[in-house]
Amino acid sequence: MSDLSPPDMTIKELVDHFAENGVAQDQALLYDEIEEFTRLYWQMDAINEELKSRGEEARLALLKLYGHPNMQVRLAAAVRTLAVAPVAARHELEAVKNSRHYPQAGDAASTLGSLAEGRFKPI
Amino acid sequence: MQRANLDRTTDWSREGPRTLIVKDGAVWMWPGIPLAMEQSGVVQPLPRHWVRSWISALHGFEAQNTRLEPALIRASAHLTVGDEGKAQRALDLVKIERLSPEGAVLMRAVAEELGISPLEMAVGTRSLPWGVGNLGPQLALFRHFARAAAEFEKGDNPDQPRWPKGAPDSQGGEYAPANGGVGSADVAPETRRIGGPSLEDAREPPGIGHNGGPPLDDMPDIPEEEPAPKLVNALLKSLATWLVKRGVVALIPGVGEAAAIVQLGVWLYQYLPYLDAYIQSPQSLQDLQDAANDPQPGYQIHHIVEQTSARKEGYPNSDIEAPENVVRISTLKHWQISNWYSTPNTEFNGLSPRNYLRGKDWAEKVRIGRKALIDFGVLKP
Repeated sequence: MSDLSPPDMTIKELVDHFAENGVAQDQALLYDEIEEFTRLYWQMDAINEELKSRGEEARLALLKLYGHPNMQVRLAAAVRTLAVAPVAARHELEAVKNSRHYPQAGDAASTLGSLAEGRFKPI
Repeated sequence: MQRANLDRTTDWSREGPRTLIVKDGAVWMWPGIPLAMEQSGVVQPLPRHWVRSWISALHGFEAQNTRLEPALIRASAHLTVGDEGKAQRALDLVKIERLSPEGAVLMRAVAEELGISPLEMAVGTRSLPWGVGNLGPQLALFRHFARAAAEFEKGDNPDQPRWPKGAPDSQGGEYAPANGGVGSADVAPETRRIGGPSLEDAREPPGIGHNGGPPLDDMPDIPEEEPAPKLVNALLKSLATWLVKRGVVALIPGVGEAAAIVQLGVWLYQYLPYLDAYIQSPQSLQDLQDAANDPQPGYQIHHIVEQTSARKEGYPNSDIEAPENVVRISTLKHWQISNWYSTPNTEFNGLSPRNYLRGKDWAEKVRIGRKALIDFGVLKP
């Protein structure tokens, strides 16, 4: 894992760091480590904000994580790209939901439901 | 017509009942289940879960002693260099001398089903968890070895074809020409091929290889001894996910995936109800509510509107504990849903669902609570 802060990272480094955090989040859920999951969530949020600040192409870089071997990484990447790649992101969320790989499948189903009801508007 | 070259130094009952014998360069278990076979010129034990499944089916977990696997390895090494005598002596040191109580019932049923003789072996007192109630599925697994068992019963070379019973010209049961010949055209090809199961069969544990399921390569690692509770919980979640991915819809102790899991970690037997509860299909709200009055291992009571939050906000106990708010769900699903309530979520603008619901009215809490049950595969949509 890089020691650099997000503003000092290349887009590739940001994407890699996002994926590393996603894998660590998956482990945190497995071991019921809620505080660790939360810490990683906000780190991933900071990475996403950094990508947003670098323009649409940078935001789309997270699409590379679609189909990642780790289901938490796929879920996080899909949710964070809904605003810039809505069709592809929903497709990825459907895949996570249909995998029945819980808890990520449950989270994906919840997000898709809220999108369909118009309760969640990605930005 | 060529007679089989018999090697009568190996027999299930020679010098007392044996469950493990060497024959034709392989290690077999009664009634004709391969436990070690030649692969690419080297005799090797078949996968551990395969060996353990079959041994424990008849002889109980106590038969999985520390001598079994080393003995199989030593026997395999002797067989690789063609020394069947030393191989048999290595197996005899394992001293599997008792059937489990259920194993004795199963052996009699298998013997009757296959028309062969059971072993005259003492019966132990410790039980195997599959229970006699699951005799049917166990018996079905043993049927796959009927042909090899029949050949062992005769004490002959399993590779030598025989005429099937009822064949014309009173040839039933006699040896057929090894390379076809007179009369062979009258016999259907599948009835002419007599012998043990293929190595391909043996690569799968009982109940899995014969139902078209995928291999067990992706099974989470299972320690032989029970680890710390935190690791147990994580392993149960991983196993539950693995079972769902395999499309398993029910766990029968001693059969299929349940057998494979317990053979690798006997301590997991007590947790099978947790896994079985997890893989159940979604149910109606009424069924989940009715089940709340019927506590079962592997399940927990779940409040659709979370009880702790509701109490903090002053909702009366009559609402929180009302029958419509209380359901029985899988313990593992309960944990997953609790974690979902506890963790930040982009869908709720970075709030956890629990924090999002703080101060919301009862109806919104119910809506989110029921939606979570649907999304996590507990409640039918």
